[in-house]
Amino acid sequence: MIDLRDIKLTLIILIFSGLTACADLSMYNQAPAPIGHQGTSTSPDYPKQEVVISALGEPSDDGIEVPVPIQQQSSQMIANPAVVALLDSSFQQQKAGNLSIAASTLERAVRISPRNAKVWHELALLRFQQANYNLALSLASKSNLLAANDRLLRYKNWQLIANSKLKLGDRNGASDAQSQADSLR
Amino acid sequence: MASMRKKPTTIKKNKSQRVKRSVKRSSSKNKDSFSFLGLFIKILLLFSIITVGYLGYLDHIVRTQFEGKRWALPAHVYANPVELYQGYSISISEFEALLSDLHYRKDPQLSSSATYRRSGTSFTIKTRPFEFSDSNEASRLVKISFQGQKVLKITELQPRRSIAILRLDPARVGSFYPTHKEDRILVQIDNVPQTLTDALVAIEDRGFYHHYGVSPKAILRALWVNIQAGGVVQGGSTLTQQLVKNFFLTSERSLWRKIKEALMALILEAHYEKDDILEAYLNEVFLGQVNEVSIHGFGMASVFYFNQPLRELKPHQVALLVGMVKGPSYYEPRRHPSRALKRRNLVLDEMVRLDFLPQQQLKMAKRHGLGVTDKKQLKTDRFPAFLDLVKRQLSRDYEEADLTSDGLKIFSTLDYRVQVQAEKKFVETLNKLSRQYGFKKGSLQGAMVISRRETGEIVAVIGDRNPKFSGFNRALDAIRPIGSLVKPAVYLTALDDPSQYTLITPIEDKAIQLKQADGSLWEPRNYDRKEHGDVPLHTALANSYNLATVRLGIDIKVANVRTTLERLGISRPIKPYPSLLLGAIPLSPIEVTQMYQTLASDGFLTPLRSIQSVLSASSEPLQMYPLTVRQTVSASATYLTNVALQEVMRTGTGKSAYQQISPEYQLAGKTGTTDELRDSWFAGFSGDYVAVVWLGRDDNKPSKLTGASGALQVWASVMKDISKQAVQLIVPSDIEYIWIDAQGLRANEFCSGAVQYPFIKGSSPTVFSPCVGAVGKTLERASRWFDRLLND
Repeated sequence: MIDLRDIKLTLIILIFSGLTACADLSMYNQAPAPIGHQGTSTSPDYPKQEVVISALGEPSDDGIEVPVPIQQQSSQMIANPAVVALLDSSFQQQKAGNLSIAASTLERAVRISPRNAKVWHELALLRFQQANYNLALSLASKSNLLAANDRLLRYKNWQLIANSKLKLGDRNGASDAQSQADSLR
Repeated sequence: MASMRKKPTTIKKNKSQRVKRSVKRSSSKNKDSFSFLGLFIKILLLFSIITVGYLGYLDHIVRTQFEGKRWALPAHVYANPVELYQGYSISISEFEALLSDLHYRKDPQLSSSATYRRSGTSFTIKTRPFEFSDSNEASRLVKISFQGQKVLKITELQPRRSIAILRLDPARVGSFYPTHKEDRILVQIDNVPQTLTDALVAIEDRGFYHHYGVSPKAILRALWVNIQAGGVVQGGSTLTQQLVKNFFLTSERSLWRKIKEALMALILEAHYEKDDILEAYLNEVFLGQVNEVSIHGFGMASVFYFNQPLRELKPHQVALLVGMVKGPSYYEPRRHPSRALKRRNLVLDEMVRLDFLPQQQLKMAKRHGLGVTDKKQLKTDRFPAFLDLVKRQLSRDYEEADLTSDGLKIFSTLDYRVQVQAEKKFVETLNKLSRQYGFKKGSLQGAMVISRRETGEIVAVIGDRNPKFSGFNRALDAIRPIGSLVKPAVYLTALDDPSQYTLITPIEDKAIQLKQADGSLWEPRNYDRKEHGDVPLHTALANSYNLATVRLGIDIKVANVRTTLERLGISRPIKPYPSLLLGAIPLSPIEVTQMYQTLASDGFLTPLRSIQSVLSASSEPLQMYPLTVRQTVSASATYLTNVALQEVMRTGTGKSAYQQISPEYQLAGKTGTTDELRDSWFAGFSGDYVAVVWLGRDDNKPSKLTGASGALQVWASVMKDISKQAVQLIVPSDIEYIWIDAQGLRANEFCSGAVQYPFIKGSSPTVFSPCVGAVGKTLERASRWFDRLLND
């Protein structure tokens, strides 16, 4: 026999689930407030999904030009055609067997887009190809940090880290990394 | 001979000997003529042996020097090439300054490479060709349009197509010369304009292709002309002889030297082709002087006088250079323009007379002015502090001799514009501070190092209050106690133990006494001489409280702080005394930069680099210096530290920076002041750059400046000019933001006065604030349970 308490409990659980799901989403989407940011439920005014390039030299209230910085979401920089062109170049160079030159090209891409997780990942792959496993896994870790919510990229990075550790003879490290990768599938 | 050398026989002789002697005497008379001939032959033989030996010796000199490394070429250092792309942040005036840095000329006709014209918000440019390590970029005709302060579009015009990225030729920023300072751009005979070789032969050695190295005809002609003129008007030397003179011999003028020169010219011609000799000549001939550096060869002369590569020169320019061979100082076009012009026209006339130049072109050529550029383009060592760094980093891999003679091409990480702008602001602010505080002129010194935040590439170095001065390089060699700059390492160590410390952990800012190794008492004090009681950890760092820091440091152990410093990239030996906690550790500005670089790179040690690659003189890659990173400190502890460093700037000791820069940059940094205000430090980063400034006096007397009132002012004024990106810290996956109330208890967004803080997961307070009701608590608990469920 279904009790009123059971109904209440079910309702509560349903509501909680709904609410926690919302809380979850807001935690992932919300850019963190700085320390001391007073309690409001609205998120701070950082750009979320689109690349915002604010014009430099916007006049402030008293007419003096105050340079305003560019704020860009790292994962959105992949849209930069210059970076795409350099990645393409690098692939061509790799196909032709010029790994060293391909690395220079990728480093140019890093210089242009330094918080771009994908570029760091490509560089990590290249170093792996060059049998520089220590560097490969470091670059992949850096890419992971920058990858934030990009699940697929983080999986690829962990996989690369696992492969690198295996090559270096670190079986325990490799299996740890592999389980990280597997958990992201 | 023997009979000649023998001593005359003694007088007392017997008759038989006298007979013998008379017989001998009569026969020796005949022998005399024979022996004279014999003597003559023997002398001739000796002479021949000596001559042949000497010729062999000359031959050896000629061949080994001619075939071996012929010229000691200086190494050239280039800045990081600028890469333009759609959306690249650069204003029109900055772009024009860039073109000026690269010595591009305004020319509506775009008649040669390295020229440009502007129409409104777009530029049409003919780029300078350049051989990079990974590609050979030819000269291109491109159009670049701007919108606001960014590049809007880049289009190539021949063939017409859109370009995603355009890499301009890099600026040359310095050279490493061998002791005899000569500069050259080597040219190959196949790449030299025909007009040049024609003109040269016509003016200097008409019979070049026919003689054997010495031209008796030329000598006789010269003799005749000179006698007629009553002085030396014409030289009778062939190009070969001139080459020998410059290449092998000193400038002494004597008959013997002339003979030697002639012999060597003959030997040279015997071994080598005309074209080889001509090529060597083209690269050897002296064509000018700039201070201590001499210009040799037409390749370098073309760039030096016309700012153009040799193959682009027009007849009137070629004629000038050929005319100058006779006397580069006498016919120097910038100092003696009318003389130079006359000489040039004379050469042009000769070229026409000998059919090397069509008559119709003569008029056109003569109508041109000299065409030399105004500025002397040979800029040596514009950035001595940076070049010093490059040289030191290179000397690990290259010997001094190779460095200054192999013609290496060194691609550095220098950002020309950033260096120039930084220098400007640095000097301005230093002078302002000097005036403001009434310092004696020249007493306040300083240094600055700027690097790219993610890659550790050093973009600018300033080593002196007068940045162009090449002397004591304070950026690399001024080793001073860093004071409060050490504190982030202390707090980072603590935050790396989340079970014990979080950003809100209370710390006692209370007086403390420590017994030192020698038995004396150390009693540190706060800057404001006050005690602040219990303060949250982040506040202690933001306000740079000494007492709290020392107490914290003792708790976590000084040895652990030392380990953190080593992980951050300090390689100098560190003494783990308590005074380390307040920065009694002397470091140079560049070492401090390395430390803050690791913080800025999210805990990844990114070794600072000043060089990207080294190429041989023929552009073969010799050495690459790759981007290297290694995680040495946990990303989450670093994140928490950086968040606290942002608070330093917003509300702590660094807040005056936001009087100059927009707070939207969300800078992270730390002030540093040492005992009695001897050293004024600031270290910090924006989204794109890490920078460290040191101010102080060389005599180590107090400078009256704190980190905030001195170094920070310089730092902020430079960063304002160069930085274009805000700091956006990426939240590591094991960090969560939790609402905390004023008492440090767990709250939620509905509690008044509550604030969000980042915590490493599992370290946030579990005790709820009274403001959170029962529903709130349950929601929270459920949410945390759900969270764990998702992540397991």
